Amino acid sequence: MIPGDWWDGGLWNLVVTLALAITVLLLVRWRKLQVEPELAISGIRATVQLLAMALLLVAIFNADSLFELMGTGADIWFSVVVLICMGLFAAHTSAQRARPMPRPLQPALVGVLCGPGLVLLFLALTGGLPLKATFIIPVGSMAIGNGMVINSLTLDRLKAEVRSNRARLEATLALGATGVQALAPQQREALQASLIPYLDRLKTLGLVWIPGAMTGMLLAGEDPIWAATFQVLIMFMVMLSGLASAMATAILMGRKLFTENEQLVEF
Amino acid sequence: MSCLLEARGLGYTTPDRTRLLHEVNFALHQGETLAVVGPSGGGKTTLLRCLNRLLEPTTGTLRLHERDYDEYPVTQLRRKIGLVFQLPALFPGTVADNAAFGPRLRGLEDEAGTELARKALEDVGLADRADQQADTLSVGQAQRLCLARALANGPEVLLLDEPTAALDKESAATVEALLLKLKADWNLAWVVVSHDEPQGLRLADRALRLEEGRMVAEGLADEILRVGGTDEGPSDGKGVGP
Repeated sequence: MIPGDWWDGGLWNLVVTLALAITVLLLVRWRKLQVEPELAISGIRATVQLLAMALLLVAIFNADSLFELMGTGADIWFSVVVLICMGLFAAHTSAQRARPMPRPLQPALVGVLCGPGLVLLFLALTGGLPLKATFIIPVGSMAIGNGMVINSLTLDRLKAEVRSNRARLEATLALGATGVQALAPQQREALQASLIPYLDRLKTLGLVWIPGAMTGMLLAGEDPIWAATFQVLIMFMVMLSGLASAMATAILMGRKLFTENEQLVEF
Repeated sequence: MSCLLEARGLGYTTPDRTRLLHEVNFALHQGETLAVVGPSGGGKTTLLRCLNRLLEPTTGTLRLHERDYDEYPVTQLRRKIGLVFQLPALFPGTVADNAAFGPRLRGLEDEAGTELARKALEDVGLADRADQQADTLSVGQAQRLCLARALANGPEVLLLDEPTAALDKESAATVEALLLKLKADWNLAWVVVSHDEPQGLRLADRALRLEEGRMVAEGLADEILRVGGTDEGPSDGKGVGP
């Protein structure tokens, strides 16, 4: 590492990050993957967003006395507002994957919020999550992030399935099936595809990758058996959250693909 | 004889305002076969899709048994007015599974559904292939299976979209002979879209010619269609004003 004060505070990290990002861009360009603009903009956005969130979290961590002044539950409400804002951005991002399917924002938003919502509620009711902004926001954001990824995969696959099976869908409708009945195989395909990353992660847990939460607990001196079982609990929690998100999105998106007279819409 | 299926002033315009069908009128009685002919892009398939309500007509009315389409639940209506597409679209599973799809969809017990499917498969000559995987059939056999699947649903009207267009000459002849036999055995009303006018003449009692979405002739098949007819030539039948 190059010595010097001005390299401290993350500037060296930034240079290394830039080198990695340029390498990624060069590889993408070399293979003509045609995602350069999206990748460049996403990279810059991710950096700026993460810096802003880091500053916001520090502010929240230091705001305990302010929340106390505002009264009971103020930090919970504040957390809910922050998570809903995150959900809106996540839903907007997922919905982009679904276009040109009609009106995808509402299914994506319900999906992105309902899975994490259920998990957070479960954790809160069982006492697994302290009801403070410093805990709710980071855990909630992880759940929303996961929900967004699984939603995007579901919507993208559903779009492809409907496009490539249009003739079969209409043949099913022509025999007197409802849209819900006709779309069931395509929804199942989309959900199965969206679960692949989760299943692969679960299969290789401890063999190919060691999750951060468990590593942190081990470093903090926790019992390895307890740390491992807790990590599996978190994995299933994340999977449940993701699956609930994907199912809600697939069902709601499916309804928008048919008119009230069970006609498959063009897109 | 009371009218089974009737279209009055039927029209369809796409959401981007392209008019595909304009002022189509016809009446179809039980046991009758109507051939819909005309050049490609003339609106023939659009008409069939409107009749099965896969498309919502933008103007005019459609009536079944003298009752407006809106009076029927759409799923029930589609069972009464079956549609066989130009390209066969089969479902995963066996030939028997495909044939029993409609009956099972409307909640018939396995045995009843299987019996309807068995009879339909027998009628199209595929009974001996009931346990075969549907995706191993030839195109001609697949088209016959699509026919059986529609018949097992117990339709009153059967719409056929270019039933032999995707087939080689030999398979086309087999399917056409089968259609003539089914016409005699099943007392249905048929609407057959065909670009092949001699075929329309062999199959149909009445004919309707569509050009650029407009009905340009309608009447008895032997007045409208020509034995050596092509898509593009003028019609011998009585004209219908625009």
